[in-house]
Amino acid sequence: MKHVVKVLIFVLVLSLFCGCGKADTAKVADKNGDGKLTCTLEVRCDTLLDSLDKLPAEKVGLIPENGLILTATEVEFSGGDSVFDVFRKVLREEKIHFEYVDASAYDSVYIEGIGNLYEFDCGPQSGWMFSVNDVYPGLGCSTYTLADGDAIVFSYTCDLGADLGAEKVDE
Amino acid sequence: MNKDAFSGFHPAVNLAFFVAALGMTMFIQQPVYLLISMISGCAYLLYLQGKKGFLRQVGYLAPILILMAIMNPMFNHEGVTVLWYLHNDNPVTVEAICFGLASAVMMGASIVWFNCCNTVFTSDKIIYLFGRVIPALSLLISMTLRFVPQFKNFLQSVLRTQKAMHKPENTKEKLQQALSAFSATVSWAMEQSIISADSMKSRGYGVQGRTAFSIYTFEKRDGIALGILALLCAGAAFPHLFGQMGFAYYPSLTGELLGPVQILAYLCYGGMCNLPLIIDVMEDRKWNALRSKI
Repeated sequence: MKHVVKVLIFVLVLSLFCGCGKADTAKVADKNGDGKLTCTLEVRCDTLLDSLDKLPAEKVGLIPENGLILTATEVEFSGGDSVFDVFRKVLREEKIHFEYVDASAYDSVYIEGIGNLYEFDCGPQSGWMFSVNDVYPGLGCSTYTLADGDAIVFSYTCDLGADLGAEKVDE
Repeated sequence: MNKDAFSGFHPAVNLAFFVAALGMTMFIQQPVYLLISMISGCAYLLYLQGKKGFLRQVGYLAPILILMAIMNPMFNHEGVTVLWYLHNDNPVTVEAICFGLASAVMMGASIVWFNCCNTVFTSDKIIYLFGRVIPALSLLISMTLRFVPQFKNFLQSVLRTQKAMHKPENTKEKLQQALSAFSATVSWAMEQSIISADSMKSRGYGVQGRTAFSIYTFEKRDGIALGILALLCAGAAFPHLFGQMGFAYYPSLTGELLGPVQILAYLCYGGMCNLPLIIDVMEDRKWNALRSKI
């Protein structure tokens, strides 16, 4: 009996370790067949242009006139990359400030601020959201795996996505 | 310990000063104000306690404050001036470092001022000032404040006695001794509370029409000191109320630091924070001058 329990524990631990491995770098289909996986990344805060009065005074100067923090940029990525992998790579290259925290309860990261514009800067329901091909997936950006040709847009919302036309995510 | 001249002023003056100094230290985040407060607080504590006492009371603060200043940029990454990136791609910014430093200085200054306050604002002054307004509470506060050192002293004396009777040989015995000493101290404290309650009752605590003895009189110099304090305090606080001294740490360090209004406010604040020290030094000079004539 004791022996069986030992074996069982060993198997369990082993399976745990297997679970820890990096997510399978699944083959992502190369849609246009040019041998590269590309996506575009854009960061915008144009919803803030209409509610500058709600921002703290010292933050108003941070907002670009056209509301674009990063104009749509084409990026190469490797199979299995998440939205966040592309995001951190590009924003560091472009020297755009951002801050995130690990939201381990959701097994993802949470973007607190981009370009010093933070969550809650424009009221209690404001913060950053991302869409892929104009769809708000309602997932953490490090759990969403990219496909070839995806268009990622990070945008600032002042009321939980309603001003971006994002559908409310069911709980 | 040095008995300073400011302690000899009326308790109301003492209270007004410490409320003003602590309040402004804790609520104003302007960097120059924080520096002024920190430096004057340290200078006053140094005067009150001497070099040794000063180091004993606030020496432990230095590493804590440095740690605080380092911790902030590790966990807070806001700010436009990126210095370098952490291993997880979050940036370390100048603004976060400055904010960490400012909050560390604020905390340090508050602790230093509280230390000064403890030395100057003794429990008889608490009773005197609040005895009429909130008799039960002020008595409770002064008894509680007295209880902590008393408890510590008794515990130490029990431990010393035990050690004299039998020196513990191993950790287990040490632990046993410490535990029994603690339990003895706790039961002593309970007994004490009952005894003091009985003693208070037999001396007529709570009987109508009793007054507390005190030797404080509000003299002319107290009035003058209070007036100067109010004036300086207003000079230091008004520019803030009218938004002249706004200072933001995030997203970039912004705020007028060296305009004429600001410099005037600094002078007022510096004068306010150093009022007790100025009084003390003036009194010392007078004393020395008079003595040398004899």
